[in-house]
Parts: sequence; structure tokens; C-alpha cells
Amino acid sequence: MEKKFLLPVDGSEGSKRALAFAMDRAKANSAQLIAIHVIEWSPYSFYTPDELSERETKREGEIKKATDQFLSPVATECEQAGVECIMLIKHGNSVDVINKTVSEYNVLQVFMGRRGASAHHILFGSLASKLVQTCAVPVTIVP
Amino acid sequence: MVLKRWFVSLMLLVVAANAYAAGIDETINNITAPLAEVFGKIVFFKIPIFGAQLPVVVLWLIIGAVFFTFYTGFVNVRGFKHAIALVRGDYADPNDAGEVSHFQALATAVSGTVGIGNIGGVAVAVTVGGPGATFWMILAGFLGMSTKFVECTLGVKYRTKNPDGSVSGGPMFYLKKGFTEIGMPNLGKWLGGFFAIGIALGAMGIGNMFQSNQAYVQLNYVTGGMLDGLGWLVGLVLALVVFLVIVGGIQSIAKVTEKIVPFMAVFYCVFAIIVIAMNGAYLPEAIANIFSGAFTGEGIAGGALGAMIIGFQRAVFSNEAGIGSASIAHAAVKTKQPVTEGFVSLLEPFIDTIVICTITALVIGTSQVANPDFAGDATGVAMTSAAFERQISWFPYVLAVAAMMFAFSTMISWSYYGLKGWSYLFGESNSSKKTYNVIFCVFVALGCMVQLGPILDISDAMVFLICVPNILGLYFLAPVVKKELKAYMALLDSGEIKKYKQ
Repeated sequence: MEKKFLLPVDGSEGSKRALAFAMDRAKANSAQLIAIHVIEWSPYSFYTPDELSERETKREGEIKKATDQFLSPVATECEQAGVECIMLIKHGNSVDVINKTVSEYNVLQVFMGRRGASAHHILFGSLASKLVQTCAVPVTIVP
Repeated sequence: MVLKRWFVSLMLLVVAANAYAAGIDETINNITAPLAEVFGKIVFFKIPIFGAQLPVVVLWLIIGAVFFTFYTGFVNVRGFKHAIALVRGDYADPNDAGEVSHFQALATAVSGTVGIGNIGGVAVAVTVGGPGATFWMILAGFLGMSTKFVECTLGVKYRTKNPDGSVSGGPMFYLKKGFTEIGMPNLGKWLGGFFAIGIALGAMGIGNMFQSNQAYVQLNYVTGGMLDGLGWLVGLVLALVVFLVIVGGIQSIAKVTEKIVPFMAVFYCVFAIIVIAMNGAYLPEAIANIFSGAFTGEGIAGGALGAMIIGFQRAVFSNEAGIGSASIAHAAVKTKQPVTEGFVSLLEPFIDTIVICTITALVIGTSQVANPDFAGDATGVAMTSAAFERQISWFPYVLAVAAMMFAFSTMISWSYYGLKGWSYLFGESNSSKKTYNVIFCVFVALGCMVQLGPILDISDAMVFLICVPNILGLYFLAPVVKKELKAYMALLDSGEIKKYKQ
């Protein structure tokens, strides 16, 4: 079975550093890289009738934006570095979606960048810290 | 620029209103009352039966609801559990995440129907129809679940994607497309147009004037009559806020309301239950009154039949089953199985009428048993408010805020429903949309200036306009829904449609 590494991306500096590191590890272990971008979304939020009617189009727009801005650059870099890579875009809660993807794809390890320590993150915990506590496989935080 | 022009005309209206000062309320009332009466008489024809006056519209809706209940094999009972599973997301395909969820469609539709009718309309029913009206209201809610199932399934099945990527649906679309499919394109076009006119006009009554009127009444009540004769001012303020949202495009106000309303509804129910518990000693008698009143109709004009008519009438206007409005909201959902939206929508009359209206009726009922004269001569929202006040002195203030919110969210929803009818007739161009929205705002202001009686007459009459083509169409298209339902149930039984969540 092929080794799989998961890399959540959001276009930030941290996520770029994580990509560089993950590509190294993937090359060294001849593993496949899965780049994922999660669009925060909840099935239990409330919409006005207007928003409901535009949702389908908005969703397509969100996916296109994520592809163009976050995933395409990653794909290009991986290709240049000769690392095999697949792209995923999902809607939902980031922690849930990443954990689900880990079990679905039998991921061996997760790489992700550390965000700056803002007051919000210290109070409520960042995605990385939540993931460290809940993920079933090792999570490497790239500073 | 256009926006500015509209704003200037609105301001001119304010100035003109100021000139008349307090007298304007009376003037407007004097002008509209006879109009409403004539209009009501023509559209809202009543058949006298055994001394009771049976409005044709109520008969029309109830016969429809009974028919659809039997025709779908009591889908309102059979489908209830499945509806809850769908809303919980048990059957939601993770790959569809990001699309409108069943829960979201339900929440939006419920925000549109949970309005003043649930607070004030129930009081009207109990005042005019006695406690027994509650029984018939619940029955009408139960039957209405089947009508909703049929209309919302069709709404999704025949949804239409606009060039700008947004989605439109609802009766005008299923009437047009559905009738084309069954080989009657001309009748369908005609009925669809009829419905579109009906909903564009009807939105001004049930979803607009009635709401703003009752919100004003409650506000006036809690301020101790300080706003007497100032209905025009409250009306203008309300109209201005609605204007900002639907013409000015300030969606954030609508978004905030949309988020608060569901919590408000829960909050309202919790406090209502507390009041009922505090009135606990009178609860058995209040419940007994509901049942005995339903069949004896003591002291009610038209007896038991009179109570039944009132109960049915208020239930229909509260949960909007058969009116086709929810079908417009549900059409936004993208699903391979339109029937799933039908299932979800049958929860709306349940939440709206069987839960919330019944709770309100019990708050009033128990208070009445404790003190038959607790509300004085207050009716509508003011009566409900007095019933709460007996136990929780500060609750009328909360109720005033809740009433405002409910009224506001219902008005926003209805402006959308009405607009969909309007743009079906006049196209999706921005100028035509703006015209409708401005007219809508004017009616918001008008609603606060006139008396409840004529407003109810106008609302009821307009609703009739809407449900004639809709229910007629539903009869013709019911076989389509039945086929969909059968196919879906077969897939469900065979396990082809499976739960994603365990």
C-alpha cells in the first residue's frame, strides 16, 4: 500500500512552509501527498431565502476560488518537485473533515503550518492545536 | 442613484405624514376600512351552514388537506420519523456538503411561517371561536402537513435555474412545467400566472400588513399606550428598516434576524411552558374546555361548526399549508430526490401549528380559566401578552421584541415570496424588482395605521387568491408526487438510499 501524507492548505505563509517540509518528507519516503482545503461551513447555520437561492452558485464559486488560489499553486510545486499529489476541497468543520479524511484515505501523518499566535487562537485554540488533540495519526506542526 | 430617488420619495412620505400628525391613522383607516369590506365580501365569499358562516377559502384548503392526507396514505404520520432523520442529516451525502442542507431549508421556511399568527392569531381564534377552536386548529395543522408535503416536493422537482445562477421555484413554476408534462401547457401557464399575481398581492396582506399591524399593537401595549395614534411613525420606521434590507440590499440586518428568530421561537416556547406550569392548577380544565368546546361550541356564533371554522382559518393562515409560500423557499435545495424536501416540509405545520400555536392557546386558556376577564377587551397579540403578564410581569417587553422580530423575519420572507411572483410576471430585471420592493415597504407602513379587523379581512381575502390556483394545481399534479414517493420509498426499503450517519 502506498504511503499517504495529508497537508491542509490555506494559502498562508505557514502553509507554504509546511508544503516545503511535507514535500521533502514525501520524497524521502516516496509517499503520496494529499493537499486539502476545508471551507468552513455548517449544515445548521441559518440563511435568508435570498441566500438559500444563491447557495448552489456560491458553493461553486467557493470551490473555484479555493482551487485557483490554494490548490493549483500546490499542485504546480509538487509537479516540479516530482511528488505525487492529489487535491481535495471539502465543506465543513475543518477538524472534523481532516480527521475523517485521515481515516478515509489511511493517512500516515499530517503536516501543517503554525499560524501566528493571535489572542483569538490562545483563547480558543487554533486548528493545529485542536487537530493535535483529536487526530488519530501523528501531526507534525511546521513552525 | 435610483436608490437615492426612492429614498427621497420615502422621505417625502414622512413629511406628508407629519403634516397630518396623529390624525393620519384615522384618515387612512377611514379610507381602507370600506375598501377592505367590499374586497373581503367579493373574494371572501361565505356560505351559511347551520347558522355558521363558512368561508369558501377555508373549505377549499381543508378539503385539499384531507384529500392529500388520504391520497398520500397518511404521509404526515408515516413520514414523520423519516423527516426528522433527514433534518438531522442522517442521509446527507458528505460530498454534497456546502449545498443547502435540509435543516437550513426548514429553518428558513419556519422563520417565514412563525410570525404574529402564532402569538396574535391564536388569541383571535380563541376570542372568536372559544377554546374549542384550538382543537380544530391542531387538526388543521395535522392535515396541513400533507398539503405541505405535496407542494414542497413539487417546488423542488420543478425548480428553475436563473441566468445569474440563483434558483427559483414554487407554485408558478410547477404549475407551468408540471402541467406541460401532463399535457395541459395552456392551463398550467394560466394557473401559474394566476398564482404569481396572487402571491405578489397576497404578500402585502398575510406577510406584511397583518405582521406590521400586530407588531405595532404590541409595542403600543407595552409602552402603555404612548404610541396611540402614532402608528404612522412606527410604520414608517419599520418600513424604513425593511426598505434598507430589501431595496438597499443591507443583508446583514436580515441575516441577524434570521439567526435570532429561531432562538426567539425556542425562548418563547420555554416561557410559555413556564407560564402554563405556573397556571398548572387550571390546566386540566383548560384542556377539557378545548375538547368540549370543539364539539359543543358553547356561546360561539355557529356553535361547534363556528369554532371549527375559526380554528381552521387561523391554522391555515399561520402555517401557510396550501398557500405555496414554503414551496418557494424549499426550491433552493439541490437534491436528487425532491420527495426528501416534501418530508422535511411536513414538519413545518407541526412546529408552527401543533407545537407553537397549541402552546399559545394553552397560555391563554389556562389564564382564562383562572380569570375569565384577564385581558379586559384586549384582542390579538395584546391578549396573549396579558396572559403572560399575569404570571411574569416583564414578559410583555420580551414579547414586544419577539413580536417585532417575528414580524420582521416574516415580512422579509414574504417580500421574497411576493417578489418571486412579481418577477415571474415581469421578469428578473432589477428595476422591476425594486418597484415591487418599494410598494412592499409602503404597505408595511400602511399596516400600522389601520385597524386589525379590516387587515384580517384583506389578508384572508388575498390568501384565497393564492390558494385557488395552487390547490387546484396540486390535485392535477398529485399523481406525480405519488409516483416520486413510491419510487423513493422503494429505494429506501431496498437500502439503496442509505444512512451516512449511524
